[in-house]
Parts: sequence; C-alpha cells; structure tokens
Amino acid sequence: MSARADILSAVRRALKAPPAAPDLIVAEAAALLEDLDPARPPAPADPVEAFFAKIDDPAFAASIERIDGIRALPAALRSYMARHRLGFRLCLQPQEELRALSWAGFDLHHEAAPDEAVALAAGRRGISETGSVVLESGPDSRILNLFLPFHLVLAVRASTILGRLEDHAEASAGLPPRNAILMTGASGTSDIEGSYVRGAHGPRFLHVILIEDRPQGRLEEVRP
Amino acid sequence: MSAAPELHPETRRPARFKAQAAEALASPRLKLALDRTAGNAEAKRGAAVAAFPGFEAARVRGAAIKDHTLRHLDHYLESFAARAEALGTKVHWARTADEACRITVEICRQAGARSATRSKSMLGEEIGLPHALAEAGIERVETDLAEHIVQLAGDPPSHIVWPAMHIAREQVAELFAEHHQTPQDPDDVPSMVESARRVLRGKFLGADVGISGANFLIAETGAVCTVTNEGNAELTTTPPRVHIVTAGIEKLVPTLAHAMTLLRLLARSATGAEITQYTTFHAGPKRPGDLDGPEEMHIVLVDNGRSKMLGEGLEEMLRCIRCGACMNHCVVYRQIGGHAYGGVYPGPMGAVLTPVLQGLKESRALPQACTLNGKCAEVCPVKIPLPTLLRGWRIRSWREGLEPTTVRAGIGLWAFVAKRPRLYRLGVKAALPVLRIFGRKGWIEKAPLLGAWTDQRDFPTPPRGGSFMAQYKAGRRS
Repeated sequence: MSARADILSAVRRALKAPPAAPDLIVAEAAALLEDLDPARPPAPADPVEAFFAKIDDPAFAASIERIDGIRALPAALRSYMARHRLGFRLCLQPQEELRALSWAGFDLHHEAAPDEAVALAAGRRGISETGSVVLESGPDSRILNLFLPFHLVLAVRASTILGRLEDHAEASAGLPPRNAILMTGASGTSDIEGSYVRGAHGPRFLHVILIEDRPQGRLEEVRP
Repeated sequence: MSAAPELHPETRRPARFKAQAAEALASPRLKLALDRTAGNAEAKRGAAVAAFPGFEAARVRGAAIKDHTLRHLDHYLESFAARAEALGTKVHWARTADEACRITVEICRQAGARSATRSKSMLGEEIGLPHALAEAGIERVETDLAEHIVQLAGDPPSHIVWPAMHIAREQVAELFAEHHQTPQDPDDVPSMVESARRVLRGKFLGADVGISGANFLIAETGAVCTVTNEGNAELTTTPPRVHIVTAGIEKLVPTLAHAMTLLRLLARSATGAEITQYTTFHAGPKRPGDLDGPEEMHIVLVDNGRSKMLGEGLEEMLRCIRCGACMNHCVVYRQIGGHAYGGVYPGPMGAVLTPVLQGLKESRALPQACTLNGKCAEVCPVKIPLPTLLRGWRIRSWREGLEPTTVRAGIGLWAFVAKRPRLYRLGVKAALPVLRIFGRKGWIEKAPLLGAWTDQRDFPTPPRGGSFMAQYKAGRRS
C-alpha cells in the first residue's frame, strides 16, 4: 500500500469512530469560531488610532508616522533617508501605486542587493491588534525586497487597517497569494543568552508610514 | 562532588539519563545559562498572559480547535493535500522518520543540490534530517541564529525554541571567531549577531534547496504557516529553486481563522510577544509573473508514531504547538537543561514524546524525572495534561516490567509497610531520632541510605515533636 493510504488508514483505525459527514465537520469547525470575543483582545474603538498607538509604543520594534495622502510619500521618504543618512538610493517595490508617484531626486531600482540600505513597499493592509502589516507576493512584489534591506519602510493606507487577526482572515478569503506575510516590527533575536538584538537576518529598522486616505479623516483634520 | 564522566553528544541517550543529569548538574555554567534564558522567558510569558485577560478562554478554544482537527484528522489531511496540490505543491507522505529522510534527500538529489539552507524545525531533528543530509553529501546550512550556533558547536538543540540555551556568550564568541574568521567580543552581542548575519547572507542566496518546518498547515487553503522572529524562514524559502517543508501530520488546522487563536497562544507562551515578527503563509511554488520564489514546493507529511498516539491514549499530546513553556517552567529542566534528557524533545513534553519515538524501554527514566508539581500543565497553552500523561508512562513501565528489580523490591517493601499503619508508625518513630543525629542547622548534608537525595541537595532535618501523626494527635488533645 502507498504511504498515503497507510497513514490515512492508520489514522482512521486510531480514530475508531466512523468518518463524519463533511457538512458536519464544517459546521463543527465554524462553531469553534463563534462567540470568540472572550478568547481574544477586545475590538478597538478606532482601528487606525489603535494601529498607530501600537507601533508608536517604544516597546514595539518599529517607528510610525502619518501622512495626509499618498502623494506625500516621496517627501516622507526623503526626510527618513536624510535623518538616517542613507543617501537617496532607494529600492522601490515595483507596485503601480508607488511607481506612479514623483520620485525626482531619488536613485530608484527595484531589486534589492544583498547589502541594500533601504527599501519601500506598500502593505496590503494593517492589523491593529498586533501592529502587523500584511505583505503579499505577486507580479509587482519581490519578497526578497522585504528581507534584504537594512531599513524597510512600509506604506499602509488607513482605510485598510483592520481590528483583529480574524478580520484579516476574513478579508483574505479566496485563493491565497503565494506568500502572505504578517510583518510585526523589525527582525530580532534573543538566541544569545536571551538578550534581545534587532536585525538578525531581516531588516534592523522598520518604519511604517500610515497614509490617511479616509474622506472623513481628512474632513476632521481640516475642520477648525 | 567528583567530576562527572565526559559524555560525547552522540553518546547521549534517554537510557543514560541519570549519568547525563549528573553531568549537567556538575556543569559550572549551565544553570546560569538556563536561568538567564528560561527565567527571562518565564517572566515575559507571565507579563504577556497578565496583559491578555482572554488568555484562559483562548486556551480552552485552542485545545478545542486542536481536538476537533485531530478527531477528523483523515478528513483534514485529505483536504489539505488536495488544496496544496491544486496550488502546485507536491505532497509526499512518510510513515517513518527514515522514509521522510529518504524522500527529502531524494528531492535534493533530483534538484542537483549541493547545499541546503534550513529554517529551524524540530521535526527535522526528530527524523534525523541533519544526519541524512550529511550522509548524502549535501552541505546543511542552519539559518536560525541558535541553530547556527549549535551547528558550529556540533551539538544538538537543547531547547525547542532556544536551541542554544546551554551555550554562554563567551563560547559563542569563540565559535564565531573560529568559523567566521573574524575577531569577536563576547560582551558585544549585537556585533556577534551582525557577524552571523554577514556570513549567512551569502549562504541564503547561494543555496540550491531551502528546507523549513511548519507551525500550522491550513487545510482550507493548502498553505503552510511558518513563524520566526529573525526572518530566516523567508530568506530560506525564497531564493532557492526548491522549497521543501517537513511537517508532522498533527500540524493541521481547519482554516486561517482557526490558526489565529493558536498564533495568539503560541507567541505569548514562547517569548511573551503578541505575535512573532514574521508570520508567513506559503501557498505553493512561484506563480506566473511572480518576481521571486521557488520553482518547486514540496511538503513531506510525516506520521512517525503520531497515528499510534491518536489511538493509544496520547491524542492530547498531539495538541502540542511547540512553544516550550512547559520546559521553561519545569523545575527539573531548569536544573539540568535539555541535553540530559538524551532525546530530541526535552522537558515535560519531551518526556511524553520520547517514549513514543524511541520506545519506553529506552526512555523509562524520563517520565520518572518529574516531580508532578503540575506547573507544565498549568502553563500549557493548549491544556495538555502533561503530568497525567507522564504518570501513564510510569504505570505502563511498571506493568510491562521495565522497572529494575531493585526499584520493584523497594516499592514492594514500601507498599508492605505503608499498608500496615502500626508497622509504618513504628518505623517512622524509630527512624526520626536517627535522622536528627545527622542534622546541622535544620538540614542533613549526608546520611546513610540518603545518598541519592543528598548528593545534589540537602534533606530537611525532621522537626522535634515526632512524626506528623504524633504531632496531629498531640494538637487534637490540646
């Protein structure tokens, strides 16, 4: 018998009970997700504010700033790169929304070198519960661009910020991308005597730029 | 205390537990290293649990999710395999450790691999993959920092989350100075991490095959979830032409949403974080138009005793999500570390698993090396009744006649006396004054017949006023 058949029959023998109907299994699995609130952190009143506060916490291994609209992204990058004396050579994830911006004064390329200084990518969404940015592979997203650079800057639109981990699961229903990454802070390790060090293999610095793109958000800001 | 015998890593075995524990207790630095890392983990977990009032409810839910999946494991295995294959992943099945290694090595050969990067996987250790790759002449590059350190040291991992827990930073500096061929400062941990980053970066990009484990297998989508804090999993799985996942069949969960409850439990219980830095879902090989990623993805689903556990009263152990909290909180592990156990998995969870993997005859000492204080079950994020399972192995060991004659005779004698209260009290009454002769300042350092106890720690001097029963009676009269 094939290994597959052997393992499946060993499992069935061990389970003793006859196999349940798939519908029943689906219903039982769904019931395990019902009334989940006592078993998870409370829903944030305002996911965007909670997301910002989470990453802004000094204990969180990343920094965050807010900009008013995606057109302000190059200026934010310029100031970040100047602040950290990184020069203006930027590895830009070749995503359409980023390429469409005006990058005058930057030396752009789209494939990170092994010693890349800084890269910018746009996140698919944010999760306020954990301060995670969701990144996906695809024809416009090179996974290595997110891991090779020393500094990684992630742009996330405020309208994509969700509250909790299950909200992300719900939002990503359907065919999953080849890689979906929940990135939460810079790379770190505590493997030598438990002392925490940033920048083990992935980026040592993670900076999140929250793009305010909610109409009501802008209105609130311009109101006296 | 006399010097413990020097034991070569390869001679460590569960059957030599006593000698290995003695060696560990004699090590001047081990206890310090254990307390630093495990103590730190214990404190961080405590803080994380205190900050999450839903933790207890999440544990109940997490256990229920695992139980549900295990109850329908055949269904979930089949649906996972079908989904994964639809994504272009090749699914392999391995009944035993040897079969899993043969399959993995064969995939490497087919790919013409000379080097393979590996992202830490305890299952890989369980099936003996490091050895199998070496035999096949394939260079194995461990990429998790701790695994890199133990690889350079020629040691097996001593903890499932911090494999290099037993190695002090001075030893890391020596290893890196020799193998990275650059001077190292043991007091500058960030520079040592930087050194490993530099050396491994080249290896990541030059590997032919990347091998990872899996923290969860998502039945609904066919995706494989890996969690790391370093980012080494993605650097292992992205550049090589072939990505191989080796995973135990118990890693299944129904859907991504179900995985979320377990991720909350896993990170908090392991490191005290709310989630790991990199929680990544790998769904098949590179797709048309993708800018990077492996051209082939393989998953080796490994049974290796798991289906047997399911049918033999050990199904609760299959809930385990490998967080390491049980060992961080174990009074025995905290004294002797992981190597003394002699198996792949140390601590309480290891003492339950090793008899499955290596047989009870070989490993009967491990379930005995437990105080049954219940701390492991108290912290386990999926509520595995570890002390009950350990007691189960003890009972089985007794029934199968595996306990040595001296133990059987000793327990037989004790049972004879304990079942005769008058005789028992007489014995206690006679022994107490004798014991008191050896007491100094409330503690007995050495006494006849007490060697097994007093070699490692003092025995409390019995108080004045006689036995518990004598004092109890006296108290009742007054």
